[in-house]
Amino acid sequence: MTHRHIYPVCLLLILAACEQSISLRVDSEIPTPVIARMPVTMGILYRDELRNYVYEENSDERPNWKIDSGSSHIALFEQILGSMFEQTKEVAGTDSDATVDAVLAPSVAEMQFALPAETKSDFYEAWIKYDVELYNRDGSPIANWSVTGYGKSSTEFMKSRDKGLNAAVNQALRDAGARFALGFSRVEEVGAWLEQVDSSADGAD
Amino acid sequence: MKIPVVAIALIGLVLLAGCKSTTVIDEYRETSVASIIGDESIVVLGRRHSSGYETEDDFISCVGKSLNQGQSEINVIPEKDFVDSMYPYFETSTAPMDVRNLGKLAQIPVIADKFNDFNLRYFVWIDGATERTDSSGSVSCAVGPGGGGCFGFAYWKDEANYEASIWDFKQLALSGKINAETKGTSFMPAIIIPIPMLARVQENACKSLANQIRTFFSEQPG
Repeated sequence: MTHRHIYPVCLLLILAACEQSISLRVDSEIPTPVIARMPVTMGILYRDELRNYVYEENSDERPNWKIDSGSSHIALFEQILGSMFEQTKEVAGTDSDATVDAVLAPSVAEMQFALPAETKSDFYEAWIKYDVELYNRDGSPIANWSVTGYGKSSTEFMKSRDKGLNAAVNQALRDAGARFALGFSRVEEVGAWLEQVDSSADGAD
Repeated sequence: MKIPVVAIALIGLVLLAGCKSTTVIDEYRETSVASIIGDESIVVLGRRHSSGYETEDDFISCVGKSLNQGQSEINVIPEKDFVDSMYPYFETSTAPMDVRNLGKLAQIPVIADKFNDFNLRYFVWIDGATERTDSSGSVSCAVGPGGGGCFGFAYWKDEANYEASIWDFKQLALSGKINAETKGTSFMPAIIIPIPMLARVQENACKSLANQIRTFFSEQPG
């Protein structure tokens, strides 16, 4: 093979690698939930791992994949928690804080993605698993549980891979937010804590 | 020279006739009365819980727009507006799967207020998809210094199958179900330029289903 032949081959290889690599910043859109507010002042701890969450993978099948979703997780929890509780307050840690009733600390446990070519389907897919911890105002743990979300977006004519993935992640975020909001008081330990908060509020009255 | 012209014309006619689609509609009524009174509205929603397919957004939007047009216009709330304003109760994983659960949902005061704001009477849940069932042939295109062109023949068969379940919110009961099944074959002969002759299966399924839904609300069985 002469030099004349090597250059086009290299160019094709580079182009093929670029085609498979992904660099995406997730742009999410979460509606305002229509839920009754709980009479609670909730402290929220957004750890740096959540704020700066980036999914990275560099394998033969997925070279240089980088999906930055940190700001979308924060936007999701701000939107959901702001509608769930009478008051919310961002806190720096789970230590004792008398100005709040409890502290909630969400974190991303796992994110997974699938492309139509990988699943031989017509969908981009995304999964999110959050771990959620709830602490008492004195810093003692109340509960920890997981919340999952799934989203898919169909392949359409002229729809780019980035747009398809972004739509799937956005759906997964919406789904996780919906499951979190509707499932919060159904977590056994959380339900018991809410009853305790209610009864102490009644006692104060 | 006359024979090839006639032959081409005949082939063209056969292809045009072939690329038409056919629709079969089935209707089942659970209640004898289903009508929209005054400025009551309906919402057309897609079911998207199946892993193998997804009721297309554009199909739902097409049915909604078709119902919203014409002489007997129905007030249809756009799907996205409704789902966003009811968040988190009408997401794929949280939406009610039967009328009983809709009744439970309507007992939540904030939800009941929203339904009242929309003046909502009927929910139309559509489940289904349009799928390519067969395709064959090929069209090759080439460009040279003297010009370019395509040559070949391709065809594909599409099948649309949708079921609409109509829930009466006032009676909290299933009013009926309508099934639309559309099949069609599209052709694309190419002699220098490709000429697509499309069967428009999804579009025809949408119009047929919308017409039947309109009839469902306007006609009462004797």
